[in-house]
Amino acid sequence: MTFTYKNGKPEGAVVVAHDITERKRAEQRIARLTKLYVVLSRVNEMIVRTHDEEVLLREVCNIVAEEGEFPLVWVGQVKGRQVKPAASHGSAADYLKEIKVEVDGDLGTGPTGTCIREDRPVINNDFDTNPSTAPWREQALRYGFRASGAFPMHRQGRVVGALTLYAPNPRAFDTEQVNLLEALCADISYALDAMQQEKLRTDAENTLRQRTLELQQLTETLEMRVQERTEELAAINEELRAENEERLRVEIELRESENHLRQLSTALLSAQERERKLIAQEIHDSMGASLAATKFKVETALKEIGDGHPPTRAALESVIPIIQGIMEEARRIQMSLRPSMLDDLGILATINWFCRQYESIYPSIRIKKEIDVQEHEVPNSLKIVIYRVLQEALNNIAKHSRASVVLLFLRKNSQTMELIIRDSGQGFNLEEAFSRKGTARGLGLDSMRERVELSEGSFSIESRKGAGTVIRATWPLNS
Amino acid sequence: MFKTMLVEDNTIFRESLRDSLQLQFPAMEIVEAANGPEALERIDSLSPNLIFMDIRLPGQNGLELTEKIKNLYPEIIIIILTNYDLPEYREAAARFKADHFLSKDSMTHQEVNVIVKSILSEKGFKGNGSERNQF
Repeated sequence: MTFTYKNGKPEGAVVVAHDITERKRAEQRIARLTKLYVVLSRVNEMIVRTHDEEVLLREVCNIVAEEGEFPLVWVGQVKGRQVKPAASHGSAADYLKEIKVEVDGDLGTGPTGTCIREDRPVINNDFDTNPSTAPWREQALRYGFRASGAFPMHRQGRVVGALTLYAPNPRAFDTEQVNLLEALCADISYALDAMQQEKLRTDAENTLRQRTLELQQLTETLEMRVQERTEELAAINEELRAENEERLRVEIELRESENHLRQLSTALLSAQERERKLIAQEIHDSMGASLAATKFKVETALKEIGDGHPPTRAALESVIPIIQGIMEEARRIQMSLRPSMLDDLGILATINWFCRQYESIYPSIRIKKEIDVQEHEVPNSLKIVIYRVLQEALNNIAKHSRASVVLLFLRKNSQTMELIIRDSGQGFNLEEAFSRKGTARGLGLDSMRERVELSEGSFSIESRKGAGTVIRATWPLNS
Repeated sequence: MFKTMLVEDNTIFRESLRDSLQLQFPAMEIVEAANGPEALERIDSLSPNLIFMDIRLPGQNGLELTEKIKNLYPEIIIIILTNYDLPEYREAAARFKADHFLSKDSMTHQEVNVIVKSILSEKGFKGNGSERNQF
């Protein structure tokens, strides 16, 4: 405070009053700043504790309005062209109901719209005189607002809204306050970003947890299915194994049946041969012998009669040729059934006789024999088989082949005995012959094969149309 | 006395052959056997001059028996009786040392008589089977 002198006289306490106003202004300034620091501090505290955006914005408005002693604080968010309040606090909060703010145009001229549009803090020092705030002058003055300030809020660097404050005094926002409030908005923006990140992270975590749960469930379901399937397969496997066992058993049974059948076949063939032999013997040997005896007796009787009694003589003489005829017939039957020569003289003599017989019946066919075995080298059981195969084969040749030469081989080495009958005739289609069934199989191929195989031999037949036929039967020796 | 043995298992045939022979050669002694063992036994005791041997005897091959007897008693004449008049039988008879061959099938009184007569004279007997007088 200083005295002012006019003509040497003190003027007054002007200087003193100026000083007081200055100090008061300074004190007020300090008080305001202090308040704002408290606000900043509390907001930061709150930010740390808050994880919800809505809560954050609401608390911000709360703290700023209460601690900062502002009649209205609101956070506006850009929605299209409009700036809509997201949170607000203060005794004059109803003001917001009466106004509309936009980002541009006539309703964008105010601090809020401008700050958003130009991304900088905008201060309105006095509603009363500021032409930019004309659209809201009436309402503002009514609510007792003189000054206002808008501060941009960012998300990830982009302006998304603004924090707007109102004060009852004009020029209430000085540079230091603006800076502090800007810092506050920066903190809030940072917090919002962090929250966003947090939210994203949490969302991601949730999604992950959800997916993990789903995956677990799927895995469990899958495991269950696999288990079920495994059990199914095990059951099927078991069935298959049982089936297999069954099949094996059936196979064994089948094989046994086949063996049995084989034995029966052999027995049957033996029985057949025995029967034929018996019949043959009865027909010729005993019947034939008896017939021969009868003829002898008749001759004896003739001798006794001598020349006497011509009628009786004639009668007896006429009987003789009859008996002879019967004897020949019997012999023929017997030979075709089973030649007793086989038992009397053996297979070699029988082959000789049969071939001779055959050539006399079929003079156009010549049989060339190559017999390299001796009678005692041929096992007894084989003799009838060899005879039957020969009989069948030669009969076929006479019936079907139109051959002129037949080659007959009976030979052996140390291990096998072999019978080969080869003709130079027209041959036949084997496949066709075998495909025909029943009586069409007149070639007796089946019976030849069967006899040979049942006597432990192997049988083969080769034939081609136009190229003749070869029948081969081989038996192991020393078996 | 000329002794003939018939080895034949068919009774009817054996009997008719015996009747026929006896009629033709009344002085001949004729003995019979129905099988091989019986025949061998009888040969020992009777010493026949001639044997009619059937080719097939129960359980025995007449050919083999013929060979056996011929080896033991080469002086006995053996006529093989076969079932058939076939070269194979003839050839076999000869192989087994039979002296003659007759087929039951086709033989006649005549044939038998001719063969027996020739044998008798060979052995120094009369045509009726009795012994020739010693000179």
